[in-house]
Amino acid sequence: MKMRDDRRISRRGVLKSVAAGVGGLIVGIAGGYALGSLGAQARTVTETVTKTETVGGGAAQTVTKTVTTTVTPAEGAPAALPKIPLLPPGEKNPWLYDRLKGAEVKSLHDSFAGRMLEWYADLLKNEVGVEIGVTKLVDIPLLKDEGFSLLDTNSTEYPLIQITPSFIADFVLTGKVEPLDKYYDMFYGSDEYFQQVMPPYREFYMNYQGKIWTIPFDGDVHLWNYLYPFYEKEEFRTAYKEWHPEGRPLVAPPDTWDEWLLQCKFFAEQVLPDDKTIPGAEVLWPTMIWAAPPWSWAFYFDIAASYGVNYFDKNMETPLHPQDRAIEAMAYLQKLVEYMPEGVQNFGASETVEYWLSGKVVSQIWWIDINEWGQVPPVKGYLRNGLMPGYPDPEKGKIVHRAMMPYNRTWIIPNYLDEKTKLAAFYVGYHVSHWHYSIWTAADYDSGTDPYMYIHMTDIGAEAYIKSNPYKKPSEEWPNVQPIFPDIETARAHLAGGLANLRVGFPQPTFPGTVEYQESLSREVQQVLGGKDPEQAVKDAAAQWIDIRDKYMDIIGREEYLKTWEEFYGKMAKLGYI
Amino acid sequence: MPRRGFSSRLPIFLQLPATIVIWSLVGYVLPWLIYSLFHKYLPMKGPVFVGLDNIIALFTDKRLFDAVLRTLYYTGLGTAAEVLLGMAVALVLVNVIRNEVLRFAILVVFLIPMTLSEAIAAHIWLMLLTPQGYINSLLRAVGLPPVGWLSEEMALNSLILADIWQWTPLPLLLIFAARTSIPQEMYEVANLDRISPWTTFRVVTWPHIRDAVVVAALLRFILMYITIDKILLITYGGPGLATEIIGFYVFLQAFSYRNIGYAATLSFATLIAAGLITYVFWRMLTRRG
Repeated sequence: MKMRDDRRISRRGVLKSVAAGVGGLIVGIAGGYALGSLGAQARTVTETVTKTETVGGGAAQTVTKTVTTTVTPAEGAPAALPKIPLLPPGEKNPWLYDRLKGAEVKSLHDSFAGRMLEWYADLLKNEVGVEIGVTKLVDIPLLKDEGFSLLDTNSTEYPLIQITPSFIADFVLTGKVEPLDKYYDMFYGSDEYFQQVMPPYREFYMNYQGKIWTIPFDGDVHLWNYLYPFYEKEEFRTAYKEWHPEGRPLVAPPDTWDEWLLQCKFFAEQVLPDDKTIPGAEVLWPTMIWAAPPWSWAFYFDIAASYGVNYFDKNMETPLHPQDRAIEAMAYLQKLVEYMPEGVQNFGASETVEYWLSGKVVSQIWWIDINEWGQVPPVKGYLRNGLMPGYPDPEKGKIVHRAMMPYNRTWIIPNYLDEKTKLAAFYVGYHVSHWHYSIWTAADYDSGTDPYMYIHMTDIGAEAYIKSNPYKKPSEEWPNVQPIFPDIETARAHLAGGLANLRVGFPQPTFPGTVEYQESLSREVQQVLGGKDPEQAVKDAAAQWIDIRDKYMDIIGREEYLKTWEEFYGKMAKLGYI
Repeated sequence: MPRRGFSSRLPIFLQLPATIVIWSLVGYVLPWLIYSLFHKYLPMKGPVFVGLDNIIALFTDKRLFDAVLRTLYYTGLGTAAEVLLGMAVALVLVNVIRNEVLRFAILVVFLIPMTLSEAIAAHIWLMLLTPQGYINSLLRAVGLPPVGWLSEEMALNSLILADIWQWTPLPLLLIFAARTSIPQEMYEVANLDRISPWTTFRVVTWPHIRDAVVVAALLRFILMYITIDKILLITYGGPGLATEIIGFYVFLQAFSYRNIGYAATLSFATLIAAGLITYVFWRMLTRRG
């Protein structure tokens, strides 16, 4: 029996938030036009604050409240307002313009993120007079080190520094990151903005120890992806049913991990490699996996988390708890290797992307972006995604699905910058993160960022995938103006798969030492894929995790460290993971 | 005479800028390194004195021990192969190829890999070594089974191979230069005396190229010893820890784990080891006869 294990992101919540978002969008645009048409004369600003309050961690109840305030400023000067309105892209913001005029904002990004600040440079300059400098791009593995180096040297070069929230604690512990609560609080509508950000991103990737440290501009989640003709061809469906030990039908996505394993076995034994289902592609293997550090741990955890494994037990005494389930999940992964390409042990980004886009495997797990890139032959038109397979938990009596939310992109602001630059950086980051811009950025071919707000997942978001980004200033460096998807149905299906997995999204660790936890587990996963005994691998990883835990307890104090875990664990309980 | 005084001191003036730069850097880095040996850098607290903890950790770190063994294998095999191959190619170029233009052209072709950056070389080898890479494609094309070049058993050897490809030209160049500086008359005399090729090599060639061989070996040993680029870009130390050598381990400790004190201790130990190796090579270089 297939059941959803929780509903942290409820349908009702989505609809309410979408309605709020749409309302805010329309009012915002109308207000902006009104403002624009009035020119520099007496300006009337209609600011609508729409609050969508979610009770029970987004699980059941949402309440939407709208308060509209109309302000007519005196001629020549903006009205004194308790908060600053966020006006539509390109509209001059008189409440900030004089304060921020002339400030320069540059950002550090990984090379796949894109240079969206530069796309919107002219609009942002019109809004508050800031100059947008050239974005520095670095390879993903070097991003964290680059960020640390900038903070270590008190560099003022990049007021917006991209970090992966996995390392939020490590960065905060430098004592050089600005808490952003007061900045968010300066703006009308920031509550609504927070409500739009998916709860796990908001709770785990923005907050740490009760403060907000980041501005999100990406939403990562793993999805189960497949070449759908393999699941729809009548010949295969009939053969699978006859072949299956229990006579089950061939369905995508498979309910359980065991069912997926059987599907892989079926394709390996009955269909591949001499198959012409996908014209122009040579489909050789049933599946594959990202095995290389430092991210293979997350692919293992797609499985392990559904088996009920957590990073530690409640008291932070046992790593990979419960370990018997952790071993079971590791053993499962090893069984899957039989259906993967030779040399999969070293597969990382380039191999998995190349194999998927050239149509070499039937199904696999990857981030949501991969099917956006798949709008090229031979796989164009044949890619779909769906909910991650799950584990039929005998204790819970239901199938538990989990999808990891690894990587993700957020900005931090160094606290040693002058006040003007900090506010300018926040304004730029916040507005670009806001749906005003992000609904287009998340759907833009030149950006590696993905949906992270409810509104991105709606039909409004889907529409953005079939249109050109209207705010992007064309350039030779970001030449793509064509939409990603050819039609709204493809865009909707893509986002539906994303939302299905976000509903069961499992956060990456964000407590101090993550880099070491992730890397040590990744190396063990890699070795299991190469034949290492799963039990030994889990035990070795757990022993290393104990050492890492002790090291950080030594560094920041045992009580302090336990408090960070308690906070993380508490949020997991609040959002229904435990 | 003032003029003679100036010219006799000219070499001192010429090397002065470089000396100042080098010693300024060393003068800053070395004391900091030594200071860090006895400190742990805690977030938001700065350095905390930990006595000999970092040094003791060197002797209890199993991962380091394994990395040392791998380093010895990687640098030992790599250096030996590069120097021997470089010497062989240099001698063949000079002894066998008589046409100057052809010799020069071949030499230039051999030098090309060395002109590439480590990162580009790493990407080239990544394309060659992946399971569906060019080498395996070639093997499949001729009916042979593919090889797991980046598997746990093979990965370190594959990295050595990549290094040999890129850096054999360095010993080749040094030894080629040394060999071409040997007067041709010495070989003519050996020929007149009907001395065997092996004896000619031992008596005429080797004494003249020995210093170049030692310098080439020293350079390659030290550079392989501290290498991280290829490992970072091709295997990231994996699968598992199969290609984690000291240079990469120091990199991880310093930049990924931010164990600055321990990374400084590892660097200092590396420096001492490099000093000892250099001394051994120096003795080989200065021991005549």
